[in-house]
Amino acid sequence: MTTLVIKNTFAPGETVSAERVSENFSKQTDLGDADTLSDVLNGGLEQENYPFQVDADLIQPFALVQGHAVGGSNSLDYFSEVFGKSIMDAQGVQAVQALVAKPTGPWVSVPGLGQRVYVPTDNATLYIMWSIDWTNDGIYWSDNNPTRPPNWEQAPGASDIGTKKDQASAFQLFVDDEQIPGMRRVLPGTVVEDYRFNPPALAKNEYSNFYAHGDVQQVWTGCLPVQGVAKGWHTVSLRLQAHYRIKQTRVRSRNLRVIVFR
Amino acid sequence: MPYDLLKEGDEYTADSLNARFTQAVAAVNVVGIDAIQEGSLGVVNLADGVSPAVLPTQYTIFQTNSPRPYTNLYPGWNTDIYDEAGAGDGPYWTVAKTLGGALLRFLFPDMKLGMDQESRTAGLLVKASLERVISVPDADDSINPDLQAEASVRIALMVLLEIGPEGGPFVDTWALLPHTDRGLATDVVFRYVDDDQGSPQHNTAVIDSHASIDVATFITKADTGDGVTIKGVQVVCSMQLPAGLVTAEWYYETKNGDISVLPLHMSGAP
Repeated sequence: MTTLVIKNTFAPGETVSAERVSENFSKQTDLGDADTLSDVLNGGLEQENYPFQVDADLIQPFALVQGHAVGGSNSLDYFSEVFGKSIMDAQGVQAVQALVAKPTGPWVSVPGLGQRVYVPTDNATLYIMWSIDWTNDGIYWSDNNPTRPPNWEQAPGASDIGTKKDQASAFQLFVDDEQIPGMRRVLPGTVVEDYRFNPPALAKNEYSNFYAHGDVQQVWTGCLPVQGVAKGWHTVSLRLQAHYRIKQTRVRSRNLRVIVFR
Repeated sequence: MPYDLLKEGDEYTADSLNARFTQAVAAVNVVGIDAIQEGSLGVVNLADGVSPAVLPTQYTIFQTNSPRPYTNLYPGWNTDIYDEAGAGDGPYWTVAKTLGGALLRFLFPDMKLGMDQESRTAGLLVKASLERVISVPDADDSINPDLQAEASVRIALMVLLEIGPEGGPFVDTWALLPHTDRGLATDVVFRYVDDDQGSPQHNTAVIDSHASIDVATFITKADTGDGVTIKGVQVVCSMQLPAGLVTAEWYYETKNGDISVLPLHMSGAP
């Protein structure tokens, strides 16, 4: 069945070295890709020594892949007191995008979006998948609002999208308490304050007019393969952050799945 | 496994050493496939289920907080014309890229999909996501008042295939996977309002709509064609506007985004 070829043969008169003899038994003596007696006897199967397709019924359950999942369908509400006066106060959405805060900072763990996974072998690959549905009651200052920053409107190509002082909430992926770059989604305030739909002659505090428009929620279905994961326990979570003036952020149905490829 | 012990008085020579290794190797090689019982192969016996050799170093390309404006328009379903140069601002599909120009594109060593191929890769599990922000003009006199419309950003996946007539010559060609084409719209409301100053204004409710557009698929040789070499996969994007509205004032941006490719072995796959 196998195609094992022994590493070393010995010539008459040759001084027998321990290393060359050992190389025939074990890869521990730096044999490169060659197979050894003990490798094959111990079950180390590779394409070279096992040149046929392995059918699924020969494989023990969970030997190649393990799966873990958590989730929740009940709505969870997070109020402003949870987050404190975070960095989002100053710059709004843009700050959220740029934020590289300590994991113990304003990011809050959410039930159904975090788990601790045991990886049974070194150099494993994790395939992390998730889906989140959330909303908030923050205010979105439209471009028509005079309280907007001075750079509120620019030509296409020089947009300042994201620099307005929007109240936003965001989710960020953490693996082993480290933020993963790019794995973040931001939901601006869902209530729009628009100046021009109101009589401008009124005082500033009188022309506010709120109406729901734009993004009323965000759904994020993401995934991330993580390579070279060491044997042992690892944490995976999606954490929430919200502008401190958002009264309420509601997390709806969500789930987080981790597949461990050895 | 038989093994002839050296007895006291036997000569310990090169030949006697070689003979015993040869004997042991033969004993291992003679074990047949029928000797493997159902469920007998465990963690220590099996190679990785992922095909690490297929991709060079990483499975994911990130785009991080890179607002980049696009004005290219959706060419229609199942139409794969795009900005091949990848410079952006192409008229139709364009490859998603960061502010600095890095592409959400995987190029990998030539391979053919299928467990019967040298790659021993049944398929590529591809997942892509773009956080899009869409922006509409503040006011546009060409727009009918009281119009309510939708503008959307669309994304899709393309694969780089080596295709051509039988026998060649083959040409590297980016081909759209139509079943991955999807978009996400935002409502845009136009209306006249009276500002109480005696002159009605033409206003647009300007909404910078943030949303995540996500797509996932498993690319097999059913997608590429049997025996066709695949060399890469990329994310392309475009904007779909209400009918009759084609203006440079409409644009969209992509901020965070990613594409990941996971090559997989699969028992039972052809």
